[in-house]
Amino acid sequence: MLGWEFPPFISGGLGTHCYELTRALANRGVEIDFFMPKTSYDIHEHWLNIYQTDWVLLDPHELQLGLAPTTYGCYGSSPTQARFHASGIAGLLQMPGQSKADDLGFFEAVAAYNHLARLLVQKKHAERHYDVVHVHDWLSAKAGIALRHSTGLPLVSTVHSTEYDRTADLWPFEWILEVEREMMQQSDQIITVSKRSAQLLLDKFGAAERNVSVIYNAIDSSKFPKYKEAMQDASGKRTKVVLYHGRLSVQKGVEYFLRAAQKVLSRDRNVKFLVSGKGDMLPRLVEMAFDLGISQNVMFLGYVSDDQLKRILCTSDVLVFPSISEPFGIVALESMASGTPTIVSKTSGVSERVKNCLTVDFWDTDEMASKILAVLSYRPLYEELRENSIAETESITWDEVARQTIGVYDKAIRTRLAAKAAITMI
Amino acid sequence: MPKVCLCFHVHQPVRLSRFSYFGIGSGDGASLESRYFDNRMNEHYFNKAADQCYLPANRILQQLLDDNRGKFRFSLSITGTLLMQARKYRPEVVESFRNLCATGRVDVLDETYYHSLSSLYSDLSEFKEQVQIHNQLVRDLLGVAPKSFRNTEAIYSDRIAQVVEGLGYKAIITEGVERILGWRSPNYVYRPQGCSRLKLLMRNYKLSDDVGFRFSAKSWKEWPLTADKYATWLSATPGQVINLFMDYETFGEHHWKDTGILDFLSHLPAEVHRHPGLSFSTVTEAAESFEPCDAISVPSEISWADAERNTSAWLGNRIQRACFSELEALLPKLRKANDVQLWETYRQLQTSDHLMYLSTKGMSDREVHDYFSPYKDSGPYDNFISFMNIITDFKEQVDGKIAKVEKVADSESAPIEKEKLLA
Repeated sequence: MLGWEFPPFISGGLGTHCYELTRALANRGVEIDFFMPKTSYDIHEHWLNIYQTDWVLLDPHELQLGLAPTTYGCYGSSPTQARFHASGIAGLLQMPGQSKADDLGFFEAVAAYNHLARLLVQKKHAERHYDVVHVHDWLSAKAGIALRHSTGLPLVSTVHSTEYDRTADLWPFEWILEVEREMMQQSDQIITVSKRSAQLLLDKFGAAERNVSVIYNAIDSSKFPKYKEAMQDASGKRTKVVLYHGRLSVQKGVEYFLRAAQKVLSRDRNVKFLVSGKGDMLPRLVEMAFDLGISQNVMFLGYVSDDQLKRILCTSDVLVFPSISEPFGIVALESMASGTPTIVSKTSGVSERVKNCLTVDFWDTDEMASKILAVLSYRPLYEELRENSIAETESITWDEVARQTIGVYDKAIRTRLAAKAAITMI
Repeated sequence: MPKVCLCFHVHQPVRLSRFSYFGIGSGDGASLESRYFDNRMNEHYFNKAADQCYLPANRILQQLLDDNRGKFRFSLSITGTLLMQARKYRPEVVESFRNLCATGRVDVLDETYYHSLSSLYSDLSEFKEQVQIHNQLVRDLLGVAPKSFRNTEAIYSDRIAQVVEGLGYKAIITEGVERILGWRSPNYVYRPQGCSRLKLLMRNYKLSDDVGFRFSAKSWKEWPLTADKYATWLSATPGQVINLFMDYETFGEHHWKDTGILDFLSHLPAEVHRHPGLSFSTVTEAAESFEPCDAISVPSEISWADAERNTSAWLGNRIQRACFSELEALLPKLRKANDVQLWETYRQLQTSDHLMYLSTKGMSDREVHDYFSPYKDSGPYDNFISFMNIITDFKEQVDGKIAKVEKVADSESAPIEKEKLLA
């Protein structure tokens, strides 16, 4: 398996996904070697072998083989600025276990990682005799494609998000789209995290329907505390709390959250809105809160760690996830696992998976505000959502994801064999 | 051989509008009717049911009543909310039901006008009132006087039976729940515990559901179900009376016309009469013909709904119970406000369907709830929000009216007080 992240080296959902998936796969008897970029962490888990590919030994000119972009599109005016917006790994720079990617341009780092991972996997294959190559997103796609050709192994790709999702389809970066298109064409099987995402792959990337499987993300509910504590203001008065958590980017629809906040406050002043996370929209959102006249009731928390998020969820009465375009939206599962009533946009994949949350159109801020007020005002609704969302997330397990993933591996192996047989026939 | 007792239940709720939190208190003189109820949706569903079921099925029943002079008979339970909408959207539906009744071989049952859960209130006067209004409506529109009773969704308990006996009815019907019947068969007439005159008929759910649920299920081993096969089953069933109670919408709506359900209905009487000794009876006639063979005790409510056969379809979770108790708690306020329009709205809000759309049950029942919910793209929570917003707004309306009434009362009584003092 090839992935860009693995805990503790994580910046988004991808790392957590790889962690939980490999663990569940191993429990079902799958042996996994995991290839990731070189980090300063020493990462070991008992259920898999982790290889951090190192490029130190390579000539610098090899690192840029045909992969360096010529323009940076919306990702900023300079390469330095561009580096960490592209993949949703904003925050990488500040992390203690920085990748060596910092030393290079982001795209060069991705290119180097793919190149090195390919060489390493090829070498290991001789002794390990892999059955399947599994890559995650475009970040490790190039290596996967090359390995499929050089080793003849079936390629399975998981698409967590596409460039269209990450940019809300505003200024997708053509070069990444190109890699993604190639990944869709060359994979024997594609796993995606929701039906809406699968549809996008069919419509925009020309993926073949028979090759696409939907496997929803899961949650380890036991990791989330279920208790609630009331937040109080300075005078000791109970304050109701509405939370947004996620990257602050166009895709996430945070501005609709603020517009809804204004409408909620027009009915009930005793509500605090927390905006947790960071991203390029932050300055604009701060300004917007000011312009809407609600800055006193909106708190921007900046970067929040997983552990901090768990604490914040305990004090939150409702979480709103207003994403414009979201292949899945695992935050909603985390919120539900903590027993926090959750409102998600209908354009997020998670809304296909769960029943015990409220849904809204991201642009319908009247409805969003109406639902926030309803959860805050009607205690039985709050309690019912709380109880049922905990119960529901307990049944959304990674073991089920692993079971389905193994099914896809089997399918990939079969189609690859069939394809090879066909070639032999000719 | 037993009597075959058919009872068709005919009902359409008055469906609620989607009502935003921001709609609360923003009435500005618009009628409650137009704000709370989605009459376009109601008209749509009514027309659909009228064209697919009520009119074609009534035509068949009329034919059967005319052809089998006196031998074919059945019972009907029709809610007030249905008749009210029929009068509004499709008067010919009322006319066709009236014609059925005019044959004298159709026994119409009483129930609560609004298909409500008022039988579960601690104060039963509202229940009695709704039954009384229903009784009047049936007399006025259909020209017959009901003698037997069917509570909303066959909800039943000893307490309800005793009240119904007090109202003078001859019979009451409910579900043949196994945990109540034990070894006993539903095909006999029983006496409700604590009653001395009222008789109890219990639904044979297996034979009823063969038609109501399974008729069009191709995976069912008895599919396709023909009238002669079904009549053979009936003739092989021991007992006094086989109670076949089902939604009238079974015929043409739950099972579409192309499943053959309407043909089944039109052939059934002839096939039943082919078996010597097998004959039809209405609920009231069955109650009059047989003496109870045992007493049945039902301390807590049963119904014909969901797998549990209790009230959990409407009161299974806290959002349902919250709406139910909010509405029940409003009763004294309505009396105080004493306003005809508010009473009417209040009662329409009590229709049990509104609560059924809030059910969060999983598994098989979920499908039944979803099937009947007109709000296809919204779940129980959305339905709750909308309903609770309406109830909250309605409470404000009632409070506003009470404030007005009290103000008038004050200004009227004040001078009298003064005069008294002077004298």
